[in-house]
Amino acid sequence: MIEAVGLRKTYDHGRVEVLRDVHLTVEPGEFVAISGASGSGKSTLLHLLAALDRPTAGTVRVNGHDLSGRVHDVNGYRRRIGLVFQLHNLLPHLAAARNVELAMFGTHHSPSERAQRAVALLDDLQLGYAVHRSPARLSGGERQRVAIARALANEPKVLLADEPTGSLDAGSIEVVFELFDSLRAKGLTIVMVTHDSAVAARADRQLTLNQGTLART
Amino acid sequence: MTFVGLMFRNLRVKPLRSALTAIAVAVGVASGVTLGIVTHSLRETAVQILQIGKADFSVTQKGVTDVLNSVMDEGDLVALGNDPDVESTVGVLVSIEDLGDDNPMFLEIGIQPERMEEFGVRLVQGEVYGATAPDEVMLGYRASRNLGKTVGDTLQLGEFTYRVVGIFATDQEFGDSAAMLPLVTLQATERKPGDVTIAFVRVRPGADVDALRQRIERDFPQMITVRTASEFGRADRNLQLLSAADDGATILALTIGVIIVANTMLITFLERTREFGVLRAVGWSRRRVMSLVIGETLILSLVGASLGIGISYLAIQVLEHVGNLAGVLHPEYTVEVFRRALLTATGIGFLGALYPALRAALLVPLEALRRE
Ligand SMILES: Nc1ncnc2c1ncn2[C@@H]1O[C@H](COP(=O)(O)OP(=O)(O)OP(=O)(O)O)[C@@H](O)[C@H]1O
Ligand SMILES: [Mg+2]
Repeated sequence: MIEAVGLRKTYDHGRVEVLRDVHLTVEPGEFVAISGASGSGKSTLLHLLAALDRPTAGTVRVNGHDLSGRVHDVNGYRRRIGLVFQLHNLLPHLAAARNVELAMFGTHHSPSERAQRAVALLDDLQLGYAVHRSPARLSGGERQRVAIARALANEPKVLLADEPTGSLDAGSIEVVFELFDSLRAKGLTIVMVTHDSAVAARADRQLTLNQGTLART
Repeated sequence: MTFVGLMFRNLRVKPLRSALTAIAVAVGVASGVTLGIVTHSLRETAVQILQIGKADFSVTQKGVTDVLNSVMDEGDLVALGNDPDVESTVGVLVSIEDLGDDNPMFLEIGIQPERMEEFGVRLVQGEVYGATAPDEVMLGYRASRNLGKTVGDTLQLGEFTYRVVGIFATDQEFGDSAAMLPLVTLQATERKPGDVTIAFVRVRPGADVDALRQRIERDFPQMITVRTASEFGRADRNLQLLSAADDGATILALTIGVIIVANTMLITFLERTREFGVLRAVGWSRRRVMSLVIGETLILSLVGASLGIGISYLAIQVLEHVGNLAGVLHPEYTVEVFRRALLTATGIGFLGALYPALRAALLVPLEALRRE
């Protein structure tokens, strides 16, 4: 469960205010879609929820972790939530499956278990044919799905996804949502940034980030 | 994919750079190991002179550049022999003769015939020379074989001609490759009457050897006692200098190695900033990121170490057969050599990787991801 109260985030010593007063509560198993103009702070918000950055003011708790200050066991936390970056951030010298495996280092899985799980996830996303390909030999949509697989590698309770369907065609979007739906049935919470109103329409709730605050669409 | 497997994959991204870094380590290791082996070998060779005599310790002149330049008075040895803890002393005069390219350092040992047995010399053929015979010589069996001379042949040593009267054996290669002459004869030809180079001392059973050595060094300030190979530097300044040069060169090679490795890894780090940001973002701890960088460097170092040992082996082969080390060098590839190579390499790798690894670990993930 996610609970953000009065979140504020500024850059350049307060000169740039990206988030002004964000309130957000997401129940376990809920799927929330966030849209907003480019530069409105959507990625910034997800980074705060992923403990990749700290808010300037306000509090944010995810699954009992207080992310406003110094996060206790931040590595464990990052491993337990899934984050799909807007820019994928795959490592170019590693094959698709290896990229997925990376997220599982530091868990109790053995190397062969990690490999098996990576292949299974990519299979679920209908990328079985591409497990050994490096990102350079994948299309934009394929890369995006590898990034999704990596985010799901550690069976997170919360998935934070920054435009995960941006470069996917309708068919691929169905594949992705099939997986999401089956994971949601097991309690996965999803916060997704998307510009695609059709995708947003699948969410339980649609929110828009505007002028540094979140409001119902 | 295992953690080490990932390291190899990462290293393969820049194969040339990885290879060059390994070579830098190899050169560091090779210079350290080569110098180490040469120094060790020269020390061993020199010290074998001391070990020809079966003794508890040896006595030579203090402060000489080369133990063969040591000069002690026979009278002093008699005085030394009066110590109640000394069972016996055998003084020998040692001289080097250049017998051409194959034997640039042929050893002549002057010793009284009646002391030979005590000295550990066995007659294997012919007879022992007379105590004052001016033209009789005995050859070690190796020397006899190398020079192609046997009992009854004549042998030219410097400006003098001798007749080979006997062949002897010691338990020791260096001694078996030498010639022995009556002490007074060698003293005369070397113009060192009454002088000896080294004295071998046997201690009375039950006596305190260390105390005796201290007493000798106090009562005879011009002398120094040497017991083992590692102590040889006490008597031989050249070896002392060589050891110091060895240490200095090793430190230098290590420093250069560390700088090269650190420099390469720092460049690598700057190029991989984004990668480290990704790893931290997917939950890698700082320690794991550090281990990755250090691990990769250690792999390069170990490859470098193997390469370095190879280079050093070749270098020693060359040194052994050319220049003025020919015939002198008897290199030994001991466990210690490999330990030293490994230690040098891991030292270079670890120190070189430390700073880049720390930088990688201390990156702020989001800032790292924003690079480029
Ligand atoms: N490190 C930073 N320093 C200064 N300004 C920043 C920094 N990071 C983000 N910003 C600014 O914050 C604002 C919000 O950025 P953010 O990436 O959250 O937008 P977004 O809503 O995700 O946009 P898009 O839809 O284009 O991805 C932008 O104006 C951006 O320039
Ligand atoms: Mg964004």
